[in-house]
Amino acid sequence: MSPSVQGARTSVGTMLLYAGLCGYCLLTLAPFCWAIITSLKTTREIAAATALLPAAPTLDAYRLILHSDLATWLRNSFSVALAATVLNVLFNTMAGYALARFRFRGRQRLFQLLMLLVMVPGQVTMIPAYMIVAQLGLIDTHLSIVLTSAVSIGYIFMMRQFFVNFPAEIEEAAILDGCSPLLSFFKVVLPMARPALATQAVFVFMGVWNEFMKPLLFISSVDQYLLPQGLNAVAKQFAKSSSWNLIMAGSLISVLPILALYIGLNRYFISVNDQTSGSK
Amino acid sequence: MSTVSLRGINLAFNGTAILSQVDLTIASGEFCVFIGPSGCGKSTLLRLIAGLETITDGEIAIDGMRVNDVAPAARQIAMVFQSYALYPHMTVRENMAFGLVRQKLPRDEIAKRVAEASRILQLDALLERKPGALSGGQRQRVAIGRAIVKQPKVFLFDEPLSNLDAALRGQTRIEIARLHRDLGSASMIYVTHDQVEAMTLADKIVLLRPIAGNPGLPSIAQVGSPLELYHHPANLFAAGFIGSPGMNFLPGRTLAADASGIDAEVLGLPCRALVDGSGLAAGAAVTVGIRPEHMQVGSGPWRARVTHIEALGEHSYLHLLMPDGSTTLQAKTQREDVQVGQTLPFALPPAALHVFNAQGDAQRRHGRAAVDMEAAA
Repeated sequence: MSPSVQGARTSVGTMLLYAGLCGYCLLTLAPFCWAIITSLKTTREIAAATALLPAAPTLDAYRLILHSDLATWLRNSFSVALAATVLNVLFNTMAGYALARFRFRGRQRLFQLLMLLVMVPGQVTMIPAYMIVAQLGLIDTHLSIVLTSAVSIGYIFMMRQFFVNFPAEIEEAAILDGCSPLLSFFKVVLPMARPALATQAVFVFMGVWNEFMKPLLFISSVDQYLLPQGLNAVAKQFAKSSSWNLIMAGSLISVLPILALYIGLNRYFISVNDQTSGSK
Repeated sequence: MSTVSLRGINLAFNGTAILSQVDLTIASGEFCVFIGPSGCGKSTLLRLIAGLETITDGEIAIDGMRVNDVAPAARQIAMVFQSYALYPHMTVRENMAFGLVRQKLPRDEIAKRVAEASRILQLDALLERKPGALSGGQRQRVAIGRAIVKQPKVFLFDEPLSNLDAALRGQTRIEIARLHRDLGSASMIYVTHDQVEAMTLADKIVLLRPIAGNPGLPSIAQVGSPLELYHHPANLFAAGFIGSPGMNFLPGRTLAADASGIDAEVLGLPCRALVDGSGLAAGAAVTVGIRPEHMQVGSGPWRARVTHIEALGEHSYLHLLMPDGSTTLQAKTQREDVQVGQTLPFALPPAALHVFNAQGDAQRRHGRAAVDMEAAA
């Protein structure tokens, strides 16, 4: 094949690829764009549904929603997600480390059992979880969400796999330097596990932030609502009056912390895994 | 003082014997090299000394103190790993100081030791860099520096040069030798599979062999100085492992043997070996060994066909096939006129021959082949 024909084929292929990617990008961004546009409209414009773009963009919807309980719900969601994320990262990482590094009887069986539990859907354990939370007197509290979300088997597996591939010689060097296993874990292993910890933190935070079923199950007081629950209540309240601008404003505000977290920790996803930079 | 003694070390993993009957003493200030093929247990033995593996049978003592149950950090040893094992999130300075901080040494003492080690290893300009910003050779020096600052009684090196390129390996080898001279009484135990490192660095070589499937066979094949192992290998394993390319082995039959020498039939022709033939009866099967560099190519009673030539510039290695079609030999030569397919005569100088009995043990040689070869010439 001549270079010019090969070059032409590559150009067409590249154009098709870019066209496909642009199309996918548009499809993904379209709902967000619609949400932003709608949040800047008045209810009259939404009800009229005559134009795509607002005639005079306004932030009234944002002002209104921020004066509602949204700020409280934001605070609630943030504190619950943060607490659950910290507990998850700590427990999942330590459990994964123990399963990867420590030799004890039944280790393999325990790991297999955990893998089996991954297949159990959350809906199956909802009722037993409610009963336990009720017996602990934690119904209608944020602790009910935090404690029932404190550990994630999927991320235990992820951290276990990470530590299986972790260079053992670095830990041995730490032992020779006088570190106990616990000190070695916190001083040497965890700092090197930043990419894995960051990945875990982002996805756990997102998962708890977007959680809807658990808050619906455990929380009934309006002032204790988490954001998805609160937005759902707002949507029910205003949907009939075409106040979609309020609902969209609330939804967009709820996405902002997740975006900030993702952008802030993104470098850990794309950075070269630093595990081997101290090795050959 | 920094003697290391190992007594009766035996180790097995999942029923497979890894180490057997290891009895060894490394004197204070000695540079001892553990060498052997893959799977012989040399790294495992090093890790037992370091305390990174648990001893189940035997005893290890450092300076007379039994350390079987002593934590690795308390054994006064320092280890340099094959993969350097530097902490990638710490600077070079922090890497070197980490162990000293754990020992709760005063800050100025830590700073003094780090400064001294970085001066010796020329790391002064690199102290604030992280390992990711260093070359392989620099990382290796930091790993050595991390060991030096601890001022241990025993340094343990686990194939520290295996990840470096040839030029850097040679340079770092010289640095390690210089370090050994400068550090005085500290012993060094060095694991390698590279014979050049072993021969050039060691005061004493411990040759280990794989023992899986051979119950009762001791792990240590031979202990001695580099030249001792080279000129007087104690058994077939040592003779075949030491030297590159390895020794040629020829089946033979004893014709006559006494203390002054052995007459044997090798490849259908008689030859004499200047080794102590005591204990060998006429007719006994033996293995005759000769190193490629000692074969005299160009004249002699035996003839072989050249099947391959490895030309290395200064000399070449000829691969020779005997008329029986199965016995192959290698010979070193400086001749450049040899062609593949050519039939060449060769001789087996008596002073250069090694003889091994049916059990594989060497008959004692009377002198170094090189010296005797020169004398014969």
